[in-house]
Formats: sequence, structure tokens, C-alpha cells
Amino acid sequence: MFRTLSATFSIWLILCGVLLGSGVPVSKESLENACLHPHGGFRTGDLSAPKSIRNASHAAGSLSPESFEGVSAAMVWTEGSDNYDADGNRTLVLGWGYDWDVRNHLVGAKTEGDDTESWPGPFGEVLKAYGPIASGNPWRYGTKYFDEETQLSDFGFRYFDAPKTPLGLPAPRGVASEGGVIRSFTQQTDQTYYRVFSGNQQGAWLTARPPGSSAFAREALALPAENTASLIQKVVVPAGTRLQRSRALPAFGRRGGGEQFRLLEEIPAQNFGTGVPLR
Amino acid sequence: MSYEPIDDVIKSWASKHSLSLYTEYKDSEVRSVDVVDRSGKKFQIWIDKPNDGIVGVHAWDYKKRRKDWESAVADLGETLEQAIAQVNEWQDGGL
Repeated sequence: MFRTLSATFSIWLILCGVLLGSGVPVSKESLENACLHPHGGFRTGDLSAPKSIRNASHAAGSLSPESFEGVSAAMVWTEGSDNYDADGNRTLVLGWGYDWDVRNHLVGAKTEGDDTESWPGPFGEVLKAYGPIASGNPWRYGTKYFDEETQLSDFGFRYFDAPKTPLGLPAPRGVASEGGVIRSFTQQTDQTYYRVFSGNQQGAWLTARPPGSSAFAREALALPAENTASLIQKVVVPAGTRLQRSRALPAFGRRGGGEQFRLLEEIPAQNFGTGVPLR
Repeated sequence: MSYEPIDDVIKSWASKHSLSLYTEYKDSEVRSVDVVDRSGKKFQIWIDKPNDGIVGVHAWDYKKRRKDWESAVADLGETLEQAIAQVNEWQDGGL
């Protein structure tokens, strides 16, 4: 179905031809200089091109479909390779052709002049890729830059590992611990909070009221086995400290649900009181 | 008690199954992975610190289904495979 949607824009460009055909004098040097992608990080010369193709990697052409409808569009630059005969004359230009879906996401890429094809799936994974320079085009899923070295896509925020992140969900940063209404705030006056623990004398996770028992604290705060909540201490949070209030999410076999506060910045060690046993 | 004697086994198992290993949770040292299926359902597998040569391994679906194992340190790799197999079974059963 996705492929059906994708057929709207099927664009074939001879990349150098765009420049050469425009009447603008183009030197080989200027083409090579054009290899610098505006966002940086563009790598040339790493194509696994056939030996018959000279090292003439270059960048050329706006490949966004909007640009063909007179709508201003972000420039998408890509690499191509020229074929030269023994006298240095250009005999073949290899360029990338693109298929776009209705949301202007790149769903396929081909080269003209050989059998290279690369088809990403709806979640960025490569479904099909063959040909000598199938991995040469770094612009893949959603027109985002794909880094061959790390095998990750750059979505401008952080690199995204499509095969390991089902349904395009954001890559998890850790065991989820905060749910409910999550609210960050700055403590307006000095205030006493409570902390249950069994190891470290200091930590970032607090409660506004002392839990009734150790067992309740473990269950309501979804504490891992490491923290038996055998001790409780008072923690004086100074005015001006930033905290985050939330509900504990289930974890480590415990149901959570208790109100919890997380210190978003460090406070002096002396603000953590002496631990007393919690039954 | 420390994770040091079993960390290599855990890391190698997590890497084999392309799982992200989390080592800290609410000020505590943990060894935990989340398995997310294609429908977005989450499962957690976590490993206790060794205690007298015995390691606790646990899996649950963040709701009611849960299974626990106790393993000798030497057999931990096999137990972790059982845990991931159990989670896969829950995933298949829930489809």
C-alpha cells in the first residue's frame, strides 16, 4: 500500500545535466567544490563505483518534488559519478532518481546508467538494495541523512536506529520511570522532602510525604531490588532548586503509582539527613 | 555483591538480541532491558546481583504476566535465553 502511495512523484534527474544543461559554465573543480553539503558532513569519494568510473563524485541538483511545482523547497543534494573516456570526455552521467510518497518522504532511489537500486521500507530499514553504488546515496528514509559508518539516520535531533526501533517510536533513553502529569517547577521556599534508601546516602528521588512502610514504598515507587527502602531520611530542598513531580510507572515487577519528585539539580550533601529505619 | 562477575554474560546476551541494557534506575544500579514488540507492547527483563553464586532473572509484561528464574552464575547465559524465549512467547500469544 505504501508503494502505491509513493508513485505520485517519480523523478529522474541526470544530476550533472541539470547544471550543464542550464547554460551555466561548469568546471570539474566547481562540481567537486559543490560536493560540500550545506549541512556539512558530506563525504565524497566513498562510493563503491566500478573502476571504469573515474573518481568524479559530485553534488548537483535540487531533488525535492516541490521544486518542480514552483514551491520553495529544501535543497536535497546527492552524489553522482561521471564516466569519462580515455580522452577525458564525459560519456555517461550517473545520477540518482527518486520516488516520493504523498508526504514527500523518500521511498526509493535508483541510479541512471547502471542497475543500482535502494528501497527503504516505511520505517527506514532497507528492504532492497543492489548494484555497485547502492550504498552511495546517503539520503534515504524521509530524505534524512544516513551515516554508513554508524548505520544510523540523522533526524536532526539524534541518530535513529530504524531496525531496532519498531514503528518509528523514539529510541528509549532508559527504563521509563515517570508517568502521570509530569510537572517541572522551582522550589519557592526551603522545603523538607523524604527519601527511602538502603544504599547511597544521597540521591535524586524524593517523596513529599514519608511512606507508611518499607513495603509500601517499594511497591508504590516501583523500586528495584537493590533499594529495599529499609531507611528513610529527611531531605531539605533549598529554595531555587528545580524539581520534577510525577507518578512512578510500573517497573521491576512493582505497580508504581506513588507520587515522586526528582531533583533536577544537585543540592548540598549536608541537606540529606541521617537515615532512620523504616518498617 | 556486584554485577562484575556476570556483566560480560549480560552484555553479550543483550548485544546478541540487539537489546539496550540499562544500568541505573532511581539511584540504584540495575541490569534491565526492555523488549518492545511491533504493537508497542513492552516487556521487561531484569537481572539481580549474584548472591552466593545464584542470580535471579525476572521477566514481566508490566502487568500481570511474570516469570522468575534462579540460576547459577555459570548457567546465566542459558537462563537469559529462556527469559527472552518467554517474552517472545508472550508476544506471540498476544497477537
